[in-house]
Amino acid sequence: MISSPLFRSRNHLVFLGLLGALISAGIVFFFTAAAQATVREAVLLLLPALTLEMFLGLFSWYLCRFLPLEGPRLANTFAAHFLTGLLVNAFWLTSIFLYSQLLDQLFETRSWSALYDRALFFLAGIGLGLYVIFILLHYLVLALEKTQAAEQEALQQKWLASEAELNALKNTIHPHLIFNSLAMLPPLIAAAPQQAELLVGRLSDFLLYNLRYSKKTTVPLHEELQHVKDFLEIETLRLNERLRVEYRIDPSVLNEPVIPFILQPLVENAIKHGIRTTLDGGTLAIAMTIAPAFIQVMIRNPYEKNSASGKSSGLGLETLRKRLAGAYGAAGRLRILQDQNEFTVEMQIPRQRQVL
Amino acid sequence: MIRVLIVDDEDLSRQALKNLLQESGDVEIMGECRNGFEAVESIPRLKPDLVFLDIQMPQLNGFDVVELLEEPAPAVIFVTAFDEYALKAFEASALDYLLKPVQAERLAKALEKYYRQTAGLKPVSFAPFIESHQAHSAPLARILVRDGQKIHIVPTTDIMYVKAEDDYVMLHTAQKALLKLERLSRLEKMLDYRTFCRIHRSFLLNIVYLDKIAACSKESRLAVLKNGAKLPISRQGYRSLQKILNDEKRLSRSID
Repeated sequence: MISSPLFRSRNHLVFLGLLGALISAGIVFFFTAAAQATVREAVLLLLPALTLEMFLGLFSWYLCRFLPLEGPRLANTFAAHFLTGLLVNAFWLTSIFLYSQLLDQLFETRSWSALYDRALFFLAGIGLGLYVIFILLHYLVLALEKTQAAEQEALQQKWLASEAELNALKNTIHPHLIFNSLAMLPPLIAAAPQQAELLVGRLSDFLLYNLRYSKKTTVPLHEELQHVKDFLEIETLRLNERLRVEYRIDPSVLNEPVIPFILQPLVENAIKHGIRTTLDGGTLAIAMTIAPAFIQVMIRNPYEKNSASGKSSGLGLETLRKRLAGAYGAAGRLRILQDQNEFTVEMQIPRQRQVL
Repeated sequence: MIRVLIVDDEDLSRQALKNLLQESGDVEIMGECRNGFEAVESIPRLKPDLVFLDIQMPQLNGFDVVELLEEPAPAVIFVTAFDEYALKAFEASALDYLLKPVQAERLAKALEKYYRQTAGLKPVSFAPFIESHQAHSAPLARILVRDGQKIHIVPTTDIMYVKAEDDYVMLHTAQKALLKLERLSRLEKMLDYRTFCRIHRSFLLNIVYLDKIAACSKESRLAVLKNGAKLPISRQGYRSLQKILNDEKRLSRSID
C-alpha cells in the first residue's frame, strides 16, 4: 500500500489528506440526512469505515499497475476491476455490519445495526464511488508517469546530441593544427616564402570555416570538401611526398546539404593514426557516391599496426557517430573496417533538403 | 665545435632546426635522419656528441630510439610537437626538451646546459626516464629488439613464450627467436599479467598459445604449446598457471 504513488511525496499526502477530509465531511453530512442520525453518531460509525475504505482503495494500485487501460485486453481490465470492486465493497459492508454489532454491545443508546440497515444502500453507493475514485486517481498517476518518462528520454537524447555538438565545436579550435602550422612557418619563410604565404592563407580559410559554420545546422557538401582540401594542403606542406591524396567524387553529391564538420575529423584521423604511422607514407583515398536515399562517403588510408604513436583513442569517431545519430537518427551511419594494413571508414548520410 | 645529428620525420622541422643551429655558430651538423630506424643505424656510425631527437615519428618514436641506443649513448635533446602525452612524460622527468616551433633563445639555453654538463657536471641518464615511461605504458603492446643492424618490432600478442638466458631473454614467436638484453622478471612486470604466466623460473608463457598441460611424472608437468613445443612447469608455476586459467574461464563465462 505504501508503494502507492499517491503516498510518494509530502505534497501528495497533504493534498490527499485535505481531499479525504472534505469528502468525509460531505459523506457524514449526507449520512445524517439519509439515515436520520446525529453528527456524532455518523462520525462514530463512519470514521473507522472510511479509514478502512482508504486502505482498500490504495490496494487497487497494484491492480491498476498490472491492468493497462489500453490495448486488446481492455475488456479484461474492466471485468477485473468490476469483480474486485464488488468483492472489496462486500468486504467493506460486512466489516461495517460487524462494527455496528460491536457498537450495539458498547453503547446501548440506540440500535446501531438498525442504523446500518437503514443506510445500507447509501453505504454501498459511497463504497463503490470511493473505490472508483481511487482507481481513476491511480490511472491518472500512471499516465503522468508515462509522459514524464517519455519526456525524460527525449531530454536525455537531446542532451547526448548536444554534448557531441559541444565536443565537435571544441575540436574546431584545432590547437594542434595551429601549433604545427606555426612551427612550419620559420623555415618556409626562409626557404620558400610563397609556400609560407600559401600556408597562412589555407590556415585562415580553414579557421574561418570553423567560425562561420559552427552555428549552422547544414552546409552544402562542397563546402565541407573545400574545408578538407584546405586542411590537406597544410598537411601536404608538412608531410611532402609522404601524403598523397586521391579524390573520387561524384559531382552530383556536391550540393547535397549535410551537417558541418563531418569530413574533417575523418581525414585528420586518417593522417594522424594512418599516414603518419607509416615510414614512407601512402595514399589517402576520399570517395563520395550518391544513391536515391543517401550519400556514401568512404575514406581509406594505410596504417602501421606496430607503430609506437598514433594509437587512436576512438574519441573523434565516437563524437562523430553521436552527432550523426543526433541529426539523422539510425539513417546516419559510420562503419569502420580495419585489416592488417588498411583502415577504411564508411559514412552514410540520408539525403534531404533540410535537416532540423 | 659540437657535432650534431638531427632526427625528425618532417622535412620542415629538420630545416627549421638546421637554420637555427647554423646561426648559433659553434655547431657541425653531421647528418639528418628521417626516422627512428635511420637514427638507430646512424648514431653508432657517426658518433655525434649531441642528438636532437623528435618524439613523434612513425614506427619508432623518440623514446624507442633512446631505448635502442647502446652505450656509450650521445647526449640527447628531445624535440616535441604539441602533444599532451609527450609533454606529460617530460614534465614528470628532469629531461630537457624543446617544444616546436623551436625558438632561438630556448635552443641557446639548451646548448648552454649541454656545455655545462660536458664540462664536468654529471650527465643526465635516460635509464630512469625510459623505465618510468615503460612502466606507464604497461602492459607493453610491442617489444623492440635490436639484432645487429636490424630492428625487430615484436607485437606482444605474437610472442608464444620467453626464455631466460642469463642476462638476456629469448623471445619465441611462431616464426623466429630473438635475443634481447633484459631480465625476465622485469619483462614479466611489463607484460599483461592476464595472458603472460611465469610457469617456471626461466619461462614466461603466453597462455593464448597453450594447448594442454601434460603430467610426465608425479611432481613435474609440461606445458604443451599449440605448435607442439614443450616447456617445463614448476610447482609454483603450476599454481600461477591455474590461477590465470581460472580467471580467464570466469571472465569468458561472465561474457557469455
